[in-house]
Parts: sequence; structure tokens; C-alpha cells
Amino acid sequence: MTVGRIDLRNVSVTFVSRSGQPYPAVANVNLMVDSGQFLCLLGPSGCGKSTLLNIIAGFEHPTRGEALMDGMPIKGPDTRRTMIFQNVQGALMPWLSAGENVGFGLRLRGMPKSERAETVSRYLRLVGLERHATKFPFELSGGMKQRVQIARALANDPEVLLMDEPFGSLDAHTRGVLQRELLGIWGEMHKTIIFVTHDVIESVLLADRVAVMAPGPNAHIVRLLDIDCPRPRLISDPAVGSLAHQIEELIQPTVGTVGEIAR
Amino acid sequence: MTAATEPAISRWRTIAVPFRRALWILVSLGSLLVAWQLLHSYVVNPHLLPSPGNVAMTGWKLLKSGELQQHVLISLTRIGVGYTAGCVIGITLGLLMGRSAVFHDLMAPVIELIRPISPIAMVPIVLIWLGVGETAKYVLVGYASVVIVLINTAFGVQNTPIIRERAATCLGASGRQVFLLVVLPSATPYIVTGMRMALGFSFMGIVAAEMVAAEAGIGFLIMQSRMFMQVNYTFVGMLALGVIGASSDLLFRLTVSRFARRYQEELYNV
Repeated sequence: MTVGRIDLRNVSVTFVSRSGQPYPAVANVNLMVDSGQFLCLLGPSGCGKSTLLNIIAGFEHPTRGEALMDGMPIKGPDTRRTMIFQNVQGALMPWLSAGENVGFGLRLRGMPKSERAETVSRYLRLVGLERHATKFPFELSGGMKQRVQIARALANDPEVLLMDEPFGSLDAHTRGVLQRELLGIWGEMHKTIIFVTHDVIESVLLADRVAVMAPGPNAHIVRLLDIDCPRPRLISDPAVGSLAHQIEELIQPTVGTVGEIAR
Repeated sequence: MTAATEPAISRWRTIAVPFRRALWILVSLGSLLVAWQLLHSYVVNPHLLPSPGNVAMTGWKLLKSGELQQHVLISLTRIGVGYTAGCVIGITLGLLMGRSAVFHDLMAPVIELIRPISPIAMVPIVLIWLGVGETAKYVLVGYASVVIVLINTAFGVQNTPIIRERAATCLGASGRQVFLLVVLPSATPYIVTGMRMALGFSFMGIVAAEMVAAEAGIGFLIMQSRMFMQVNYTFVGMLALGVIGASSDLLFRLTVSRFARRYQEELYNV
């Protein structure tokens, strides 16, 4: 039985601005993410990537069309899909230690503290934070905080991980380390991952498939590319480079050149 | 050779920080006493400004007779009751305002209108409505503290990051759990800050109440001594107010750092 398959069917989102003007943010997006697949949603800022992710999470609802998980309509947030946010300070509970944050989902289910301890330490170990269980988020670096958030999501054992530019605010070195760790974890657990990014290289290094989006209004998926280079992939890999170049070409005309903006 | 290149550490920096702080407190208060004494001896009419020694003697006399303790105790009781009521009402309404946009939009204009009306401005109407009994004092102290607690609570609730609530929902939190386990703790640093400010305000409320209509309390002590031109008593009352105000603030901060430190840490560390 396959679990964790996501389907977007003709999804359109129209926002109403403060002045009452409707704004067609996303138009007619069709996307199928298979169980266990690693998909990157790639595109410039403001192209509706996060909106689509929020719809899959159940935080927002499409104006038209529908979002399905394993064939059932997504009605709202669900423990089978967990979101990992870029703003870790906001997403974590600052008054809870790293360990307490990881065990938060288990606590919500009413699991007693003694039973949580084992799961919590297992997932802290998975992200290499076993020695930092009692530290509070403000005592941890950005990369460590993001590890806590990933461990918190995994401890809840969701079928789909929704990642909203999770490494966007980390330094290049930490980003590289966390990308490799994420691939390691994914290789072990084979959860479906939908990963939003605007970093072309990141998408090519990580994903099975990259959905390239054009910016709004009427944002949509321009192209779906299969990335079938073997893992581990390196930036120096010619195949990776040529794919990245190909994607750059796709994005470029949608972003607009300096000359165009000046005009 | 190495000694020449090593930067010199001043002896001051080798003293532990708490001792340095304590030393500064002594220097600060000591200078105040010296300045006070000089003003009394050389600048102002000594009948208008009693010497520190005179005030100390008067204070000691009032302490020995037990009169000062009685005034302090009565004022503290009034503050205790009024402040607690103010905090409970302020937090409750603040939580409601923070969570319900409709309630917020209904209440906000009223609060903006009430906010500039100081406790002193409320004294006459409270006396007319409630008379000179204890209830009037509780109400005035409660009034002095309620608004700031309410505003801070509502702000703290509204300031809870939306993604924190969302993160909790996709980890399985029910609406009730989001409120109790995410919103309330997120707002706690703001609530505590509001309560600390309110504690200061409640001292202003109590004096306003006791100066006009009371037979006891520190405000009464200050006001009564004015009638008889006993300036030394006035100063004892003012000092008592300062000392118990500063002590209660210190006690408040110690309690917070003992019991609510994990909630405050974020505020101090951003």
C-alpha cells in the first residue's frame, strides 16, 4: 500500500487585497507527487510556492480545484503532513528545551513523559543533537535549531514532509551539511518530501523531480523535470551543472532583466 | 618581556560583577544622602527640608510605636487585593481581545479613551459611587493596574507567530491545545512585563485613594503630616513608599527569574 501521495488538481488561488481587489495568485496548477518522492517546488519569490505548500498542509484552501492526499480531499492540517518552516525561532517553542520541542507532538497525543523520552532521544540522535537535549532554542545556532525542527517533525512520524525554504537563512556551509543529512534521513525513511526553494542548485542536488514555477499573477508550473543523476550528487558533477543551467534558462525570462525593469 | 606586551587589566574589572553593582548602589544612594544633607544645611529653608538624620529618627520613632508598620500593612493589603483583581481582569480581557478580532475592535476604542484618565482623576467618581470604604481603594488600585496588563496581554497574544500555531496544528494540536500550549506561553513574557508595570502603577493608585479619603495607609500618613506641617513625617511616608515599591519590584523580578525564566529568556535574548 502506498501512502503519502499528493495530488493537486487544477488548483487556483485568488487573494482579495485590502482594497478589495481580487488578485489571481496561482492559476491551474496540476501536480502529482508520488509516495516517497522528493519534489522541489522551484521559482522566484512571490510565485506562489509557499501558497501551494500551505494548501497541501491544509492551512489554506484553493479557490478552485482540489488538493488530495492518497485520493482523499485535504480538509485541514493533519498529523500525516508536517510542515518545516524557514523561520525556526518562530516555529519552535522558545520556552521548551530541544528535547521538549522534539517531544511536543507526542505530548499533544497524550503520551506520558516517560514514554516520550525514548523516542525523543532517538530522534535527537538522528539529527546529532543528543548532547543538547536540555538546551533552549536561544542557546542553539540556526543550523541546530533547524535540526530540532526536523527531529520534531520526524518524531511525529508523518507520511509527508512539507519544507518551506528550510535552509534559506543558513550559511552556505551549514546548508550543505543539512542538505546531505536530509538526504540521508530521506534515504532511510522514504517519506514524501515537498521542498520549496528558490535555489536552483539546491533543487538539482536534492530532488527526484523539480517543478519550475513562473511568477504571479496566474503563477503556474512551467516545467516538470526529472532529475535522474545518481546520488550523492556533487556541484562539480557535469550532469548537475547542465541541469542547473537548463533550469536557469527556464526561470530567467520569467524574472525579467535589468533592462526591462528600467523601462 | 611578556609583561610589557600583555594588556593591563584594571583592578576594577577583577571584582565580580554583583559586587561592582552593589558598590554602585552604595555610591548612588550615598551621594543622594550627601546631596540631601548639603541642601538642608546650606541651600533651602531647613523647615521645608528636614535633614536625613531627622527623617531617620522620625522613621525609627514611628517604627518603634508600630504606627509605620500599620500604615504600610494597610496600604499593602489594599494593593494586594486591588492589584490581584486588576491582573485577573486584565489578563482575562486581554486574552479575549487577543484571540477575537471582533472583541478587539469593540474594546480598543474604549480602552484608548480610558487610558489617559489617571487614577487620581477617578478618585472623585469612585468616592461618590462607592463611598470611603475599602472597596473604593481596591477599585482604584485595580483601575491603576488593569489597563496596562490588558494591553500587554492582548499584544502578546496577537504577537504569537502564526507559523508557531500552524506548526502545532500539523503536529496534531486541537484548538484548545493551541491556546493553552502555544498562545498562552508565547504571550507569557508580555503578560509578565505588563504585570510588572502594573505593580508600579498600583502604588500610584493607592496613594491617590488614601490621600483623599482614608484614616490609615501611607497616603494618609503623607497627607495628614502636610496639615500639621510635619515635613519630617511627609518624608518618612515618601521614603516608605519608595522602599516598599522598590522591594516589591525586586521581589517580583526574583520570582519571575525563579519560576518563569524559560518564558522570559526569549525577550532578554533577542
